[in-house]
Amino acid sequence: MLDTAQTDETLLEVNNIEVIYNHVILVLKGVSLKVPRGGITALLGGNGAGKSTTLKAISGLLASERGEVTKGSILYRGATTQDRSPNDLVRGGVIQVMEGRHCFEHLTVEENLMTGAYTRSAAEAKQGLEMVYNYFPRLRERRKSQAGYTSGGEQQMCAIGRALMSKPETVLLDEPSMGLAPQLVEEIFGIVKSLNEQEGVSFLLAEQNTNVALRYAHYGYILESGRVVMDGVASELRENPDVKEFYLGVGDEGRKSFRDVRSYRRRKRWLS
Amino acid sequence: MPIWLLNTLEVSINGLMTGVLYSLVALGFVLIFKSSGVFNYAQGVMALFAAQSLVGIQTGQVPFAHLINAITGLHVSRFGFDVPSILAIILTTLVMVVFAWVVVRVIMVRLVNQEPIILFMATIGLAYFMEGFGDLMWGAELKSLDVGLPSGGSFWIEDVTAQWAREGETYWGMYVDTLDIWATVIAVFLVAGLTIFAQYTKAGTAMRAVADDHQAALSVGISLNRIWIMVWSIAGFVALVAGIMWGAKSGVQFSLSLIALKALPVLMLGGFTSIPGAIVGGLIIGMGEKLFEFAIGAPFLGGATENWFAYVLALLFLVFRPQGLFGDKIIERV
Repeated sequence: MLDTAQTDETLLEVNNIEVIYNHVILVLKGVSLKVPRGGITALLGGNGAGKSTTLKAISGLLASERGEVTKGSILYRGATTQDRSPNDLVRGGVIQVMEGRHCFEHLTVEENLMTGAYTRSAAEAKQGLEMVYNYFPRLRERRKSQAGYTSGGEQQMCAIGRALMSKPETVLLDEPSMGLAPQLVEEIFGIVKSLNEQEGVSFLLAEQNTNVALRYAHYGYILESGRVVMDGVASELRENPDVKEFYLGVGDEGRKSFRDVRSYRRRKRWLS
Repeated sequence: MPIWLLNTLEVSINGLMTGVLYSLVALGFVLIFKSSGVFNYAQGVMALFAAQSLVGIQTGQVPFAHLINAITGLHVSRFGFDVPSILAIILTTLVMVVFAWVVVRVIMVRLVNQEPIILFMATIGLAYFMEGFGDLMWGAELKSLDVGLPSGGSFWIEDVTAQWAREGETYWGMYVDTLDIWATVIAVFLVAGLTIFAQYTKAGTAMRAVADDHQAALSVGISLNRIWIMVWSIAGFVALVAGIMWGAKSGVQFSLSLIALKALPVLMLGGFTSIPGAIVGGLIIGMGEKLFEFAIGAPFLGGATENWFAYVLALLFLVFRPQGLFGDKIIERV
């Protein structure tokens, strides 16, 4: 992939944050990352690594889940996002597409999209609707159906489209590939790519599907048990032997089994 | 028409109109339940409080008079002027909006994402607090409420229907209370207005979005607090309308808050999440209990079936159609 859209300007900066849920459960133990304007930045890692928590810490959704950023800082365009409500952040250009899509099931697809324009004027909403339907022609076909009855792929499109309605500068996209067929995953990532290139939307993408994410992203961070363990330009990460072995499933000597004790030890050492 | 048919018709009509009043109370429940997942036990007390405030403002009562007198040793009770009904209704609506704001700020915000049972308990607490607060503010004595709505039997209907009986039979015509007719008209407008609001306005769509998924609503930048304050205000206004109707019928006193109990079976029948359900449920229960009493209860069961008929009907519904007539189907993709 060509790095045409990415610039040097840092939009979002996360500095060594620590997140605690319910005052006791330590989930993030010092995560730092940067999202440049116009880039697609991937946040990779397995289940429970803290990808979603990182995104929620940025978008301000943590508070409603009894989570709290206890250390470090999150800066958006140089200003701290702490104590800003999600509503305020959406107005400021940061919006999150939550894991598991979270469409409003009983609303039609179009009504779903319109809720995304809650912070915008009616004229902007109309304009946004046209733009979203251009990128997701399938949504135009299903616009009158109840979102709860559309397919998983359509719901994911609906969720992304809904976020686009707020005219965001940065979209925090959580696990868009979840539960979708490989072909659909490619389709959705393709649209993300073109949104990035044509509309100039920056993305911070949390994803378990390392293979796909690294093909579309410019830069990647790998998260393990609440820490960033590695980061680098996407194309370099893809060639890194450890990433290859532990995330892409191909080692130097071809595919490996996790039953292999040596590999397991090496993995443990690398993580701790 | 034969007399028995006329009598049945009269009972049905009166039942339907009582049903409208049940619907009004149920509507308040549905609004709050839909948008915040809270079963608001305090809805009945809200109606009582609204009615108390309305009467208090109308008659120029000094709020917290007893408290003021006890602390300062004064003897204030009234300002000495009456407030016109329309103005009093507007002021009471404002009181309910302030109340909504306080409830959301003090209770709801702190209990976001808690178990439904905890929220339910909180509303029980709220109900008892408000009951005492209302008495403290306006006094606990029985008050009569009159906002200028006509009441008493309609002679016109009586005259017209008296002609419907067959030749030679004595029939005095139907008794239909004009207050009930007004209540029906107002309820129809209220429901139409609410439906249009929920379906076609931005705030209404946001309200339905919040009802579907709090987190997702937050994530797209909808301010939950603002929506909740809005919904509690609307529910407060609906409570005020219900309070006016019931208060005009039976006076403003504690038992007014018990109409909430009548709304429960209506909700089970109509579904907790459906505005049309609340209306149709109310009508069915209102008409059902009056007809049952008239046809079966009074002649065969010794009467007083109205108290339990609604609950039996609701139980049947719980067994055979738990989501009610119009409740949201739980959409589950497999």
